[in-house]
Amino acid sequence: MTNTPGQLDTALKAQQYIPSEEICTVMFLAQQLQKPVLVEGPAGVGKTELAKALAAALGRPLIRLQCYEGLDESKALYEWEYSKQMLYTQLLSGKLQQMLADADTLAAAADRIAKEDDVFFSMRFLLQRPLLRAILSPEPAVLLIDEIDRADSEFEAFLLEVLSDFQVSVPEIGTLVATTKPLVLLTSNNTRELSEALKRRCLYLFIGYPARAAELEIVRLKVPALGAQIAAQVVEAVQSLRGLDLRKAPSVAETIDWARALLALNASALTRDVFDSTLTVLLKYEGDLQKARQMIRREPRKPAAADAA
Amino acid sequence: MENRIIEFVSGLRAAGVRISIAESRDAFLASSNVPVPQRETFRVALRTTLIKAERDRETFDRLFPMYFGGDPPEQQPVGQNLQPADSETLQQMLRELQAELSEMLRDLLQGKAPAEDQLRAQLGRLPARVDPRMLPRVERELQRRLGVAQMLREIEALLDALERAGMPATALQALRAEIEQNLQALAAQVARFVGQQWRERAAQIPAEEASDAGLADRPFQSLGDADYAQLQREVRRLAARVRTRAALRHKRGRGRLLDAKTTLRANVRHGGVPFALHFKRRHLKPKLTLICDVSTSMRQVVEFLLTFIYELQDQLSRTRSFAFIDQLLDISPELAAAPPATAIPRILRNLPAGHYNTDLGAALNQFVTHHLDAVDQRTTLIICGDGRNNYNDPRCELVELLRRRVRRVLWLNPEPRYLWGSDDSDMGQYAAAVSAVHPVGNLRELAAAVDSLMASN
Repeated sequence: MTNTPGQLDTALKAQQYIPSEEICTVMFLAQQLQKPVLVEGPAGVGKTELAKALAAALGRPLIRLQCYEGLDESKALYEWEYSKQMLYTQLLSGKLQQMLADADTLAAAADRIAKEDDVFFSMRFLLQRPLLRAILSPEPAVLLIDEIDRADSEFEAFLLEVLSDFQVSVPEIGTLVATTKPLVLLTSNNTRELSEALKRRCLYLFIGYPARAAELEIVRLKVPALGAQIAAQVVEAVQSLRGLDLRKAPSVAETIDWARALLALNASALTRDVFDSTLTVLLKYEGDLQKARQMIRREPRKPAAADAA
Repeated sequence: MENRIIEFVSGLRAAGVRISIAESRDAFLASSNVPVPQRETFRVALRTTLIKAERDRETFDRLFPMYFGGDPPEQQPVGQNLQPADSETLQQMLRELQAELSEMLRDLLQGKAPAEDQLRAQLGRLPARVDPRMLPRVERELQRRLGVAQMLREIEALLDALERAGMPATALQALRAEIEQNLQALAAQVARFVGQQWRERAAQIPAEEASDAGLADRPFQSLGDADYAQLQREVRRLAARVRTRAALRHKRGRGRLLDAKTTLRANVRHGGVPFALHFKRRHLKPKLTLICDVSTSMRQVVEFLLTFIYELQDQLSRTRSFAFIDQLLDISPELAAAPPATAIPRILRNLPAGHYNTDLGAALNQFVTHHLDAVDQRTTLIICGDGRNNYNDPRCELVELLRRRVRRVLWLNPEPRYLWGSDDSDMGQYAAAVSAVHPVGNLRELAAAVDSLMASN
């Protein structure tokens, strides 16, 4: 279904995600080369959304691992459920007694228990966390490792090991090898530099703010009820706001929020009053708000000019 | 094509991008996996495999056309499609102006591109190491030497003369468009030639330069722009070392407080008998608040300090940063959005315009009035500055006040000790008020200061 970047483009669009040509090519290569992809970019440009859309487009299950400070193996990979194992042993003790009743010697009894090892050391007691689930998934999954920059660097090193072999050794059971290789996406908000080793193993994709036409397409797709004219004005305004020297430029997610807010207010055109009263949806710093208001004062006809286009 | 990719990779390396052998192998695999040999797809395939940081994308985009540019458009003889009468006017005018027109322009009108030897003679030999960002400048210089500016003036004169001679406007327009095209073709040829020259030079540069060693010991003031990229690499290397040590300390930290919950859980396997004890991890990660002087003299030190802090973010529990010249500004959001190298120029643009007179006293006062919530008794407060206050009130009592509120106050000062207290320096007074002062005259000292900050708990 997705043998070329072009087909991937169509499939992603069907999932309400508008990819750039670059995104399609990189995702296509990731499948071909079976390499993880490191996705970077400012917050709110659809990095996580990409993984979701990709999973849906490829018809694969999405497995998500959200990283945070202090995340460790037992939360990311697996945990052995001793308590459940104990409970089973106790509940089954009657049955065990019965089984062992006719054993003559201790050695015979032990042998008999040893035969039943599989019952007590089975996948039943293995609590699978996202990484292991992705490895053991019967059909190839999409594994999203979100905000890897928040995890500790030790975890990063551990992740490298898992991502290079796709196998895990569990002391109680043995080595578990992936039957299908998942497609791995790592996202980072760049709060710290990731290790060279990790970067070396990944394909790199930087998602920036979309161009005007692409952003308009996104707004039309996500907020279809909004009029064509005002949607164009919204995108026009956001694009020129990004041109300002702001502390936090409005992201695509915020553009969509703004479009929804305008829809909720039933605004038919982006007048200055509407702009002023809804601007806080878009900009979160007082200084930025002032700059934006100045911009509007300087070119009061700017939004009006957009509807002619 | 394969040779070209190898050449391209070594070109990128010469321009300062780090590319491993595994990555260039990926580039081969990726480029052969692209279904349709389209230029754009091919470009993306190379970029995604070779470039792993946003800051290197610009270099890639600049070098790519130099290696995979295809042939520049050919120049065409001008005036072929004119009406016979207009053509006659043109020829006549050219004969009349024979003496005034330069050879260069006559060639251009005939669609004759300058020979490679001519370009080579004008350009001379490129220096061994040219930053690819400088190449447009080299191109402009070569165009100037070829006499393009003179040619443009002559073209205007020629067109004026033709207009006076009664050539219709449409024909003039067509003529101008054709000349424009040839000019563009010439510019493309020049760009391609300069690119080729650069490639030849880049191929001669050995891939790994091992000259970073001395840089860490050189004082910040004596560093030029050229050293800058290398220093950033050095910072990353030193930061990696500090991180490893910090992580080790973290692990071996002494706070042995029994963690009952984890111990019970871990010992269910032993039937609840606590064989394996688990201890609470003490929060050893320092909580930082930085107040940085970003006046001209301090800018570099601050940038490297912030880069350090950025690299070590995972070893810190929380960081708040403030910058001042005479006004204090909370710069944490800027630093959260971009790495220091890009964030700092932006911060400097955002700082309230003033006389640019360093006034730490006023900045401290603002900090105490508005941002006292940024510190608590677990915070390490770092002031990075040279303590030169332009004879303003140093407000040492505020530093005292802060020191009572936080765990400790560290001061990082790039000036050597013997300069403290000279002229407008209030460093002597401040030094008495803070917990410790670290001299940070060069990168190694800075690394040591950051390391000690991680260490003492």
